[in-house]
Amino acid sequence: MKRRELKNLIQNAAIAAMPDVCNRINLQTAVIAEMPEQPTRPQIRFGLSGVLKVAMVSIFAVFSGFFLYNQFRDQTPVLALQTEAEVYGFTMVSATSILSQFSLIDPLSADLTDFGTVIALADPGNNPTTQNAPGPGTNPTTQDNPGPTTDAPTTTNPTTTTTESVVTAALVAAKVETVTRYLNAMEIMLAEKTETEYKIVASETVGYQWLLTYSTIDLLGNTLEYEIRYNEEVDPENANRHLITGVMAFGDVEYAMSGSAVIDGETIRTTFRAELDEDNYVTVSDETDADGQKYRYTLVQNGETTQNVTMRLQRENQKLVATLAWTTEAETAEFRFQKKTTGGLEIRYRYLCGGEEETGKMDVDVEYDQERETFCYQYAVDAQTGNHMGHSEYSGDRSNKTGMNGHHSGMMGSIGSF
Amino acid sequence: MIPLFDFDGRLALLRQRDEVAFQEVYDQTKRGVFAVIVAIVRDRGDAEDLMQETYMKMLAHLDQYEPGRNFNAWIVQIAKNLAFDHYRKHHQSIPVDPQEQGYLFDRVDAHESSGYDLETLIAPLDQDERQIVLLHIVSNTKFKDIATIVDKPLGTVLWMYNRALKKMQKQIGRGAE
Repeated sequence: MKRRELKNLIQNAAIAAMPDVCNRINLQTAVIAEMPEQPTRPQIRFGLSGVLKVAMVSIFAVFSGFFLYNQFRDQTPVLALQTEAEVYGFTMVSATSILSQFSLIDPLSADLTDFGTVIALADPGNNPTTQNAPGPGTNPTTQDNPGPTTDAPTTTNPTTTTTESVVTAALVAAKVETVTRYLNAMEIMLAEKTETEYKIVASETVGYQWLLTYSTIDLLGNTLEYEIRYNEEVDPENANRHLITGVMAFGDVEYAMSGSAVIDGETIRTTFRAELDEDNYVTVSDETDADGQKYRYTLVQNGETTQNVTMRLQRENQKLVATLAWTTEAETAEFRFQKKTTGGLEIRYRYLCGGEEETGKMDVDVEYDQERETFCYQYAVDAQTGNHMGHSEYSGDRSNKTGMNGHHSGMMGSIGSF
Repeated sequence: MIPLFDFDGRLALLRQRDEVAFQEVYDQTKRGVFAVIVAIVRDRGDAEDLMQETYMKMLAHLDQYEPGRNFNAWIVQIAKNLAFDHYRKHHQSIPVDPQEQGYLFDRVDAHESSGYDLETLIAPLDQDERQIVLLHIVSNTKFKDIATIVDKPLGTVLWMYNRALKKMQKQIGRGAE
């Protein structure tokens, strides 16, 4: 039954059951409170100095009030995700998307192996030089390991792209693979509000109460739809806590979902876990505070926690903007993802490592790799401050959201094709 | 644009025992008063008595209402307090017998064309959810005002409202099977 029909039913049933007690009240004999006497206005003697004082105080009060109001208004965060469907959908789908990347990453060698092709360009006219990038990952010591090719610049020997003959890699190159882990999620989660839809309806699948659908548009313009089937029940030990269990298919793999939503004073806190097996999972926990809406993602791979990141969400001009941040003993990183109106993603970053800081911009597009016969992310990095300023390009794996033969993997159902 | 109902003007007339003004105030507020009472008290006779008591108390304490404030929310708060007082005093000691006492949601009163009565519809809801759903749907009370009435943050009210609708949809789905 649709909500509108349900509302009509309730309204009609309530009106039918409503008694009329108006005629049971005798207004003429009822006790009616007397209005308190209006206090007599004191006589005010006007004098120029008094009027001026009052005027000055009033002006001061108005300006102070206006200033304080603006301060308060500016500091009040607007939640990017507001409804239950948005919160559940975003966290569940993003966690599963990140989890689905585990198959692309070898956790034992991720820090030490090359992650893909790095093409650093000093001059667009030159033939691109292929080099091996320093290994990214959670182990910061590997960032100082140069790739095996001799002509590739390294973080220990920074070079800027000021001449034609010199190629360079940005300091942030070491983190491209880490960014790629999240890029698949960003591609499908960050879109204008008009491009996405979160919906919860009663599930027709036996064994599940609810069906959450999330539809979005990827960077190739395909409309994708993801489905999560789940049950939700009140925790028998805590009435303010709802327990959630369900499944979500992503590609050919089905992931188990579990979590809870807790009403805690003025907030509702959600925690979800997308699980491949007991040693490989991603947890998402709500850490929203006065600074805005934030979620902590913990990636556990082969029983080891491989990364802890915070994702802050904001809504800017109807667009969802996500900022990923993490800090370890050796590095601090912040990547701000936003979908561009012209297509692709823009990432603004700030990366500190080994006492060196770099800021810059990455433009990410999806391109077809003829050799590998698959779509890849192409990074165009512009390091704008730091010791490695200049332009460089990288390639990263993209999970198959849409295959060449029209098969749509990574989703339960799909509309449209590229 | 629909002009706002002038409560303060009617209340001034009400103080002079103007019957028409009272009827108008009653018509404007009865849904909210009824909604909050039936969310808490389930006996037909008690609900009627509490509605009457609410209006009597409103008249007796009219001096405590500040003109310009939300009169609807004020009278609903009176109804809620009375209903809770009643609930605390009687809910364990008075067994409700639908056959003898004329249960408020007796199927005789059911919305005949739909086949659903209010009891069936709101049965899966707890007391807070009943208040939120009935205040919003029956009396068109804004969620912001409901948040004040039930003393919960707006986000929680919205969340509970959606949860309640889903519970009812599921309940009806079961009934239809």
